[in-house]
Amino acid sequence: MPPQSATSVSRRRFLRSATGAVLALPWLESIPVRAAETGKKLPSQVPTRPPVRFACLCFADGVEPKHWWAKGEGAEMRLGEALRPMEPYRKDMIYLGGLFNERALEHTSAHLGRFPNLLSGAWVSTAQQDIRVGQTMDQRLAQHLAGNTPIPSLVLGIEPTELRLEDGLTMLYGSCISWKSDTRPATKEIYPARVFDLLVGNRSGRRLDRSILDEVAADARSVRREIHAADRSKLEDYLESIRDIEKRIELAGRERRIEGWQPSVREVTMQRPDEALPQDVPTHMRLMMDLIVLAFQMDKTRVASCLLNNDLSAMTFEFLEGVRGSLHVDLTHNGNKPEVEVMHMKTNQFHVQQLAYLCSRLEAIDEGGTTALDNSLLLCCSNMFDGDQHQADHLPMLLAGRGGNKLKTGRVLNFLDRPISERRACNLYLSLMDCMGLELPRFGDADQRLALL
Amino acid sequence: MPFLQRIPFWERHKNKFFATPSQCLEWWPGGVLETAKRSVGPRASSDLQTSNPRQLRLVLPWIAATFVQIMLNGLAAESSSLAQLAPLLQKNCFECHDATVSQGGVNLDQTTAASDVARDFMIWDRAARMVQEGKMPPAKREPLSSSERAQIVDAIRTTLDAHIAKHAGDPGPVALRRLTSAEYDFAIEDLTGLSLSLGRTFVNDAVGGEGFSNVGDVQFMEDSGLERYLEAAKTVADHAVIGSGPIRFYPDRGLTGLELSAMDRIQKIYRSNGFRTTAGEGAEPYGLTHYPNAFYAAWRYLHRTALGIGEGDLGRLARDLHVPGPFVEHIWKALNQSNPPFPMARFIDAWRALPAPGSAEFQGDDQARSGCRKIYEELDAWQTALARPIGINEEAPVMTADFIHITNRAPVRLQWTLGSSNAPAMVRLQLDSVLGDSHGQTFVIIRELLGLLTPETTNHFAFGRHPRGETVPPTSLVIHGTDPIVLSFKVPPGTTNFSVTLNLELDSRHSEDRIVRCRATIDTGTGTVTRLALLAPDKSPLLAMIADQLVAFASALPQVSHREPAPSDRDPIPAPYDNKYESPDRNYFHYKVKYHRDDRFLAERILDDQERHDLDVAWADLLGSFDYHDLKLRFLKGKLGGSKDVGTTSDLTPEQVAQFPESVRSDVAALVADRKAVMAAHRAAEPGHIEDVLALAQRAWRRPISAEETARLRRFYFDLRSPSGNALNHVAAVRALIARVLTAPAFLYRFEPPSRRDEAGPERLALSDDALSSRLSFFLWASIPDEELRRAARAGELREASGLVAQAQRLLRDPKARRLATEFFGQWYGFYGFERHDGVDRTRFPEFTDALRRSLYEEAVAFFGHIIDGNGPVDDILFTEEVFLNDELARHYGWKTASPLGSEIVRVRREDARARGGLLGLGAILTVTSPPLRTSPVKRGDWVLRRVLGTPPPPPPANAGSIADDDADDDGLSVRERLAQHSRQASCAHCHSRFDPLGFALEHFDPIGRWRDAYRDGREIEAFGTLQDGATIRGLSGLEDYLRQHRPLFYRTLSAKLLGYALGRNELLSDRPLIDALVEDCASGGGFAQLALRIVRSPQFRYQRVAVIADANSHKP
Repeated sequence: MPPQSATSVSRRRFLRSATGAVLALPWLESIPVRAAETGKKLPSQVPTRPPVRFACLCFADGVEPKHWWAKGEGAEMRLGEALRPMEPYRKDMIYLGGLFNERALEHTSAHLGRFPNLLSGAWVSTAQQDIRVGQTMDQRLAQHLAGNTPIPSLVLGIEPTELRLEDGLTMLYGSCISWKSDTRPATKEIYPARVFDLLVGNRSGRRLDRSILDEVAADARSVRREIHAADRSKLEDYLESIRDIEKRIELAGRERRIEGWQPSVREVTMQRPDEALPQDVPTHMRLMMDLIVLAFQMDKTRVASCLLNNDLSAMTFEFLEGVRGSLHVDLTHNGNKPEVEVMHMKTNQFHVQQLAYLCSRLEAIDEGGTTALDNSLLLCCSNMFDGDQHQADHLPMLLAGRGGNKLKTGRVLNFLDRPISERRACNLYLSLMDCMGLELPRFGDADQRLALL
Repeated sequence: MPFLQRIPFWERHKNKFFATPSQCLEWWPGGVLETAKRSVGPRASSDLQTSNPRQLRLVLPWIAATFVQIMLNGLAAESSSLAQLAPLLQKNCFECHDATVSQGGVNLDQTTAASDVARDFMIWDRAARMVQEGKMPPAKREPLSSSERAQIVDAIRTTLDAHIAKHAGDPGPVALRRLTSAEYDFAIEDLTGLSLSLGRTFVNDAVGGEGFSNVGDVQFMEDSGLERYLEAAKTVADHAVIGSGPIRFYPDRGLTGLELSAMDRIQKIYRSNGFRTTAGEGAEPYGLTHYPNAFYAAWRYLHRTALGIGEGDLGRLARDLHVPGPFVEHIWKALNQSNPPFPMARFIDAWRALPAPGSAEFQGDDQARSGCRKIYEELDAWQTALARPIGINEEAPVMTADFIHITNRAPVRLQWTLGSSNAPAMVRLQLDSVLGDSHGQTFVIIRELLGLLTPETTNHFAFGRHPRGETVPPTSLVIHGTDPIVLSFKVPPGTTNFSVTLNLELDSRHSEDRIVRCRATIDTGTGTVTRLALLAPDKSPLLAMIADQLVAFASALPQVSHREPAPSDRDPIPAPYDNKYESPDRNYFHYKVKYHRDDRFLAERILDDQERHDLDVAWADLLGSFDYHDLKLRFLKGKLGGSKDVGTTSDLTPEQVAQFPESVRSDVAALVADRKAVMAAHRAAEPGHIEDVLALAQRAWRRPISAEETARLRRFYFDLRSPSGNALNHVAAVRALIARVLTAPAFLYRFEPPSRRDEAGPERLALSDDALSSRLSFFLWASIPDEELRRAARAGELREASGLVAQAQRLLRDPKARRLATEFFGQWYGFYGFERHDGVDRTRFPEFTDALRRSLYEEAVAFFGHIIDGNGPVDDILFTEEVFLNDELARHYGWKTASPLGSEIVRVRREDARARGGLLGLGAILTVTSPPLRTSPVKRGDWVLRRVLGTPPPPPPANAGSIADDDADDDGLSVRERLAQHSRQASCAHCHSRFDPLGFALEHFDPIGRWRDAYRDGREIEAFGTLQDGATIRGLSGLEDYLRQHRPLFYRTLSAKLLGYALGRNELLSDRPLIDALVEDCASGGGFAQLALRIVRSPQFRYQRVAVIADANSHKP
């Protein structure tokens, strides 16, 4: 029998306590939700300042490690090949190295245990009948900001949920990066036309829809009494969904905002995308980026996430020169063949290019002497570093935008040599939420802000 | 030391207890990941797992720790026999495996928390087996005495068995289910008859439970997700046809749907009954087949006494002969009228002259039948001849009183299919006087004939000469007298459809005043074609004399009827429109007014009451679907030169109508009256529409709706209509009501409200009749119950096993059961959504077209459709000798077929050495298990273990690494060599030796399922591999042998998955007896239906838990 080491015992105890904290999460609920209060106070405090917006672009299956790096500061910053699209925005970005989610790392499912928790640091339930991860930071923000904008958050994706089990777990986990609550993924929209309608269509009024919704809500309330307790929570989703729609209708109809700030652009020049799903990935992603910009510009929402590909994605990239094969099976797991590693790197580059495009669009929007990019926080990340190794002990992360001048950009922050407590991705999330006016004592496995930021 | 420094997790811990990560994972306890959990029953034996003792020794401590924890936690809760075991476990196992070990097993936190032995039954079961087989404790530890061993094994088995005995048939926890997007679409299809595919856009399906999307645990109503359901419901409502009849649904939406649906219905009535009065371009006669049978029915009735037919049996005669009753009655009257009009008497005489039964000339019924057919042919020829051909010759003639037309010229067009292409076409021509002096002279000139005939015929006749010595054009032939002549026409080589036009002209100068019939007959080999031309001198007094009789004849019989009987595209258009092509009138009619009803004969003489009603409803819908009456009124006003914009049909007073000039007055009055009638019909239908939606709600909600709900639905409609509410019109309000019904939770969720308590025990309740009927239909049809199933449920028949089984059998026989091919087999075996699969690199495989992809998908669907509704054993899934092909697939697979198969998938027996057949040969499966550029023996082998045998390998360690993506790489290594390199690491070899050989056996199938003999770089395919135990699997047949040996695993997997699909939940320990029985069914040759029926009969299916036990596994605070 192997000797027991003191370290492992304490480690285990530590894990246990962490488990309790993360899994229980009741304290999250007990934190006062201050949306309403802040909303009322804000006008007098910052009457015309543009709000800070947050967007997260996430891609699956990690990066090609050799080409993902940055060194130096500001204009002197040098970027690895994969980050090259960000050259023009070196002064606007922060390279973050060495952050990770401990609970993801501990998980035995190399993929699904490390994916849906990227933005929450939570444990992924391994019980088939218990779908549970943890509310993600974007959705926590959306909850906080609800009521300020017609739409709490945009949750976008390119690929639909894959219909199979992976390692006995539902691929729901591999298809959702934003979780509205611990047990429920946020609605992911993959149809650009629908997002456009949500943003631009006249969603106010809709008297008939509301009449119908009133009726079916009454149905749900009356059936609630007659069903098993366990089923009631499912039905609660239904009622919640109705409330959500009604809230959106109501907010869409409200002309004046709680804060004094008015969005600069109200005329929409973007064309309505085709009804069907775009046939090629670049068009699809470009549309989604444009829609995020449109949403921010119109102040329809201040929180957005876009999942560029699902975990274990079979996405192919024939549109990139010389790249063949599917993302997960062929490119991530490339057998260390140099030419295939280059292909994988090119896919990373392509994803970073989406961030750069977002930067370029936001930078072009003037918001009273500042640009929309200055007033945004853009996070681009993946759930693993070396995808071939499923390496989750540190994550590739890029941050762009100044968060309303709250961040000093043009820097490379490397946490690899720091103590564990300073390396938690959730530290970053706490800091980012601060910038958005949501100050939480702790989030996920973190109780401190990101040092150096 | 820094705690984490880019050291992969496994590396940090691997030296603690196990040799390699994979060995640890090999023994992954079943709870989380799907590991080998089918190895439960006695039937499943050690073949799944390693028997390598060296590795076991290293791994066992870990798993032992796990189950010790479980046991200790579970003792108090579950069983006294296990409680007695505690000291023994403590002594022999626990010493080695304290909590620290759990660092390697993340599950431990959860498993130890369990107090329910059933929750971790997979681990328990395996632990018992390992102890029993002496693999535990490890050799280096002190062995258990045989009595201890027995004690442990017995205690575990006893505990599990006791649980099974106590809980067998436990319905288990079934989370409230929402319709999957497929179920939504099927339900809409079954409700409306329309495949609208709205569910696909919900994009909210996920897979859970045993691997299916119909599991409530993974179904969410996300954020504003209900909005999509609302939109979809409104779309369905938009397809409702809301007119003057009951609500129905149509592929087109809104008013277009109303109009096209009406056309469709009118057309159906026309088509099934035959006669309609008008014609159009490209017209074909139809409906004439009623005549011979009607004459024959009338003939039988005429001789009813001799034939033993009763006085009131005319209707029955009609039915027996498949002729509309009213039509036979009409013919009977027409044949028995006194003073019949010209030329009706001819037919009556011929009909009466048919030999009567019992008379000397009578030779049997066939004689009467063929006699009736001849009469019909004569009648047909007369009608055709009487009607004036319209425009160019191709147009079918119309015979109405207005158009009866006899002149001294008539083109007779003959068209028929030649028996053999080079023989001359022979036409027999005969002149006959049908009215007037029959002894006088008749001369008929056939113009422009010369060039058309064979030389022999040409020489036989004197062209260009008149018998009276006059000259006629040299190409013309003059005939006279009543002797028939035969003309042989030249047939150009290769012609099969021959047509010729005879331009006949009565020579008025030399002929007497008479009506001449010129009869042209062709013997086509299979019958005769006869055309008549009726000729009379210009301004013949005879014609004026019989004009009224011809009109009477025309209106007494149905008109010559033609072509696809649409109510539009009239040709000619009716008066008072100007019938000339491209005239403003004609254009106005075609583009604005569009319709003109002239089916009076059909309505009055042929249709029964119900059909007539349906036809009237359809016309009211058609004319009510746009402002028909006003558009026509506008035209009539314009015709008079006045302003077109004065007034509408709705505000015209009778006085105003009376002021219209006489030429259009009756038209205007009819228009006003018709509009009023149409509007009234629509209004009268309104209350019925509400009832229809209430009925729809019952079907959609799968249960009777309460009086209160009925009242609420009605109130909602009236609120929508009320001026203080939404102020909607009737149609909009009904649509909203439909949308509301289809957005209701009762439609979107599968509620199973608790119901009857019966003898089943305190823990379970029988499902209500409605809930059970829904379970049945959602299981077997992926959709709502039909009328018959609801009836059976209402009658309480489902409470009896016999009634339940009878309904299940009926459902299984229905084509809708084939939906299981995609919903069950497609999801489990992985070809679900293959019609949209884009995981093939099409630059390398340009052959993988969308069409091929569809064929591959349909092959899989057809194959499993046959598994479902064929009666074969489930073994056919793997070992059938039948394949499903079309031409495209045969080409793709490189098969030569004896005859072309066409584009539809058909079933054929396999006969090729490159055998394929069954699941493993399906192109769709072979494609989805391949990456875009190459095959992957690993993926395919894993697929066989996971999906076929239910013994999935553990997930690869995080740092497993990978091999290159292409089978035509330039590193000079084959896939096998690369894989061998990769598997050299001990950490990989163990698992790879389980699945690689299974995958390699399929290497002859390329990434898109084609057969290949070599890789792209020319290397030979080596389709074999060696398993851990030394056995070699070679090719598909070797793999099939392997699967034959492991059939019980296949049976168990199929059974457990089907049960999981049926119930929408995970397998439970208490399901074991049922699964054992299902496996037994499979082993004894049972088919899919037998499994489905056993599941349907099971208590799991028919009952529900009284209280849903909170899941101990969840992390509730």
